[in-house]
Amino acid sequence: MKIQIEGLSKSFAKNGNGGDQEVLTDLSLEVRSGEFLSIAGPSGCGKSTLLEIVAGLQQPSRGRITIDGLPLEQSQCNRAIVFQQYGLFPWLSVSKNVEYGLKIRGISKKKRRQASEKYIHMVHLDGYEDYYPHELSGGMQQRVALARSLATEPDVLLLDEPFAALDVLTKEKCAQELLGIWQETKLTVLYVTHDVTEAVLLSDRIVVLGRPPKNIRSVLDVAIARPRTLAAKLGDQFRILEHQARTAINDEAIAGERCMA
Amino acid sequence: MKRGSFNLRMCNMLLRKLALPILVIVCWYVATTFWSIHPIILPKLQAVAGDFCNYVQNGELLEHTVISLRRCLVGLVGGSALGILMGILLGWNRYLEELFDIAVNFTRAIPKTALAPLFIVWFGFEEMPKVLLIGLASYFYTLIPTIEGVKNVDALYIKSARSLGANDRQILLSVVIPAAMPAMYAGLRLATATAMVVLVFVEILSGNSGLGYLLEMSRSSLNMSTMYMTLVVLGVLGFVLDWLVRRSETWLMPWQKGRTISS
Repeated sequence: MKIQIEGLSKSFAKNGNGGDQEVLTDLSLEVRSGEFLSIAGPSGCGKSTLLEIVAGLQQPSRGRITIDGLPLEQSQCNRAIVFQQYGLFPWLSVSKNVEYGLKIRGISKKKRRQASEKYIHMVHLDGYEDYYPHELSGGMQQRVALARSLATEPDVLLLDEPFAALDVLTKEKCAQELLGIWQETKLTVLYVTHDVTEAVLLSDRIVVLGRPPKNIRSVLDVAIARPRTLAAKLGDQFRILEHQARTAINDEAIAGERCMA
Repeated sequence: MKRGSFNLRMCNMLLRKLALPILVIVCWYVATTFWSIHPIILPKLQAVAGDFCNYVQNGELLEHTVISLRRCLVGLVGGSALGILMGILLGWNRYLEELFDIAVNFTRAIPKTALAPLFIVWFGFEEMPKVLLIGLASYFYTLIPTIEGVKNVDALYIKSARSLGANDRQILLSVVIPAAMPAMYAGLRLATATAMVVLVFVEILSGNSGLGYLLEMSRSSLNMSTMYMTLVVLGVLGFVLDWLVRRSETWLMPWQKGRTISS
């Protein structure tokens, strides 16, 4: 599934003074089929907004998105999103959470059960099927959220800082698992993060967003051989890319602060 | 061994919970038996117990209790069901909420007991005004928390459901209602307590049956032991009703069990 974003703009009505605040201006971007693309940038640069527009949760003010040549609304492409704060339903058990998207689609109980078993296994949560979300740790909850999204068998997986709320060790482990799942499923992944190291480790390309009006600050190709393990972080190439990405984001952040001051 | 220590802990807990009630009863007994307290202020414990036995034997207590309980339950269940249903609609649909906003907030500002005289004029002295008044109080006590609960459902749940393919109707049924259930239950517990208040008030005011009527009768004849007995029965009734609501809460919302404020 190739995602083509053309001239995308999004503005929100500002509280009080009636003016509009533009968070995305004339953004164009192509996401290749099966690609793992990270979107990084300082906070407030519209990363999450972009992701939610692709997910269909928000409407763009201008511009258009096509998937394999078809406009977003007409596309049969299945998109699933995972949020930083998991968004699990506390009143449903782990397996019921994972089955939710299938139940909505009217899929039979037996098939739902099979799917939930498969995806709960995929995120290594066997044995936790009947637990409620609040009985699990943050990392486990995010795995459930991932399984819930994967159960709908998406073509495109959208991740909005999925591991930002986790501690460093859990985060690294979850990121490795995500890589494994991506390699297994051949999904197109759009990954929003502000963690540069994570972005370099996971991605094929990193898009650094800046503040409007110039939205894409730079695009970095991550030409590090796969499969990547944590050891990849030790390579020179990794460190150089990490430095480049960090510099790009920091410049933006500083420019943004100057703007506000 | 483990089981034994568990039982011991249960015993200890029960002992702590019962200590104060037992102390109060003992004090009551000692005070009325050994000191000369005027029976108008505090009747003898034995007299109250004797009254209780008499009323149980001639079936009057059961009759009055059943009548009161029926009024209370019909009003409470009917009013709360309507309140929750309406609350879901008003919380979900902004146009409906705006349409009803002033009407709801004005009507709920009137103390429900203040409507008793009007209802008696409209509906007479029979069951109708009593049940309606209890229903009205229950309606408002569940309506407002339900509206708030529905409006305050975490946007993240709704976004999640929408991204997983749910339409509006599915979101309402599978996300908004379960997410707002704790708020509905908070309203239901308030409604239960208020239903008892309104019940006793309207029974004291009019009619010739029910526990409130029994209270009013014992006042006019200064039959204090009957009055105390009725008060105890009312206390037990309110306690049992609240317990039932709480039980159904853990039964209907098993995910809330063991959840703390911080989680």
